[in-house]
Amino acid sequence: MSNKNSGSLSVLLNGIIKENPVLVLILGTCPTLAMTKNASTALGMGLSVLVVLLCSNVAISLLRKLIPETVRIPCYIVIIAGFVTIVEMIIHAFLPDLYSTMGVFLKLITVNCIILGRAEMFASKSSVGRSALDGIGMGAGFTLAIFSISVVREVLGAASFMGNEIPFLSEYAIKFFVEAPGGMLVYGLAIAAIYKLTNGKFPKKKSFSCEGCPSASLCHMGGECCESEANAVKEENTDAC
Amino acid sequence: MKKHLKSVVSLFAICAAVAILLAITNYFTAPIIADYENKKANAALLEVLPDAKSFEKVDINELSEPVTEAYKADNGGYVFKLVTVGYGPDFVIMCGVNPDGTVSKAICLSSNETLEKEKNYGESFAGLDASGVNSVDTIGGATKTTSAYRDAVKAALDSFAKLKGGVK
Repeated sequence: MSNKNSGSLSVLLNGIIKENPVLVLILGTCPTLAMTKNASTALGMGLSVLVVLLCSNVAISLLRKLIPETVRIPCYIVIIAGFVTIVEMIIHAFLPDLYSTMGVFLKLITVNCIILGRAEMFASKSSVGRSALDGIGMGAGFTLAIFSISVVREVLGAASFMGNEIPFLSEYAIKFFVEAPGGMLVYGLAIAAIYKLTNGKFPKKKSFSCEGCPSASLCHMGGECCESEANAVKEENTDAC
Repeated sequence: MKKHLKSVVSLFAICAAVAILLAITNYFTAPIIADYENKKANAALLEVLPDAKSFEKVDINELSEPVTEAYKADNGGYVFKLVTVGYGPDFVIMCGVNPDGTVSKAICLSSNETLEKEKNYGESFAGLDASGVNSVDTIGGATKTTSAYRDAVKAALDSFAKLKGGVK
């Protein structure tokens, strides 16, 4: 029982730091760069992605034995797009200001590679409970990552937090941070910070197999890319020692 | 054959289930969204022509795209709602025209543009007539968005000229 609980906990916590989709797996970079000029928008985007991840993971896990292999990707995309549209309609109705701020990027959650990636890699092979935990963990990791980046960009670039001006900083705002290059810089620094926090530990070798790759279903390399990447990591680790 | 049939039936069933869920959500949210959009449009009428106190919707048969709605204000000015295409579709602009034929104000109500340059670009047209609007520069890196915006404002001024000159 305790093993089962610790396994479930590890699934939940995986997406927060160890396999954070934005800062470790480097997925979902479009909304990360576009939606982090303002902390409240980033929070809205993060929570929207969390809800879609949770719902799509649960639905796909429930249907995993019924969906034929030949049409699994179209089925996943229909399910994901359906949940994104439902979230969009709810936000439009009850949070119209957030809806107008998020603009086209709300619809673009459908093609966020985190969601299809987790559906393909995890939800289609796991129980409903574990898939739900994975959705929550990955969604929480995504939200934490983009919220952290957005706080830095908004405070430094616009001298405000969640749209509220910070009086003593308003004269020192550096507009660079709310522009695209500033976003790239803060994103890169965040990745470096996580690298330092995890002492530069790379994912374990087994994750380099085709099973661990989000693009496995679309790839025809037969594992050649995984092998060369694993060798590169092995060399670097040897140098570090 | 059986394998293909299973694929077709599965995909159809999932599409049908998702469509039903979407229809249910739309049933509950559509009235709320419509109410909000109406209130936003009314507020937008006053925002683009603040000197007016009341508006009357007019027939747009004489007017061409991208004008979708036109309102005559009590002070002799007009407000036009224009739906055009910039970098993305459904680029909705509200443009107020003073009684003297100059732009009172232009705002973007909603868009699918990615760089958000349209949010403040409308301020460039305030107080300009048709020749002045033509001379407003587009913004580099967002030329499709700003060209569409400028063309929409020109269309509003042309529509004003038609309505002022050809009122029966």
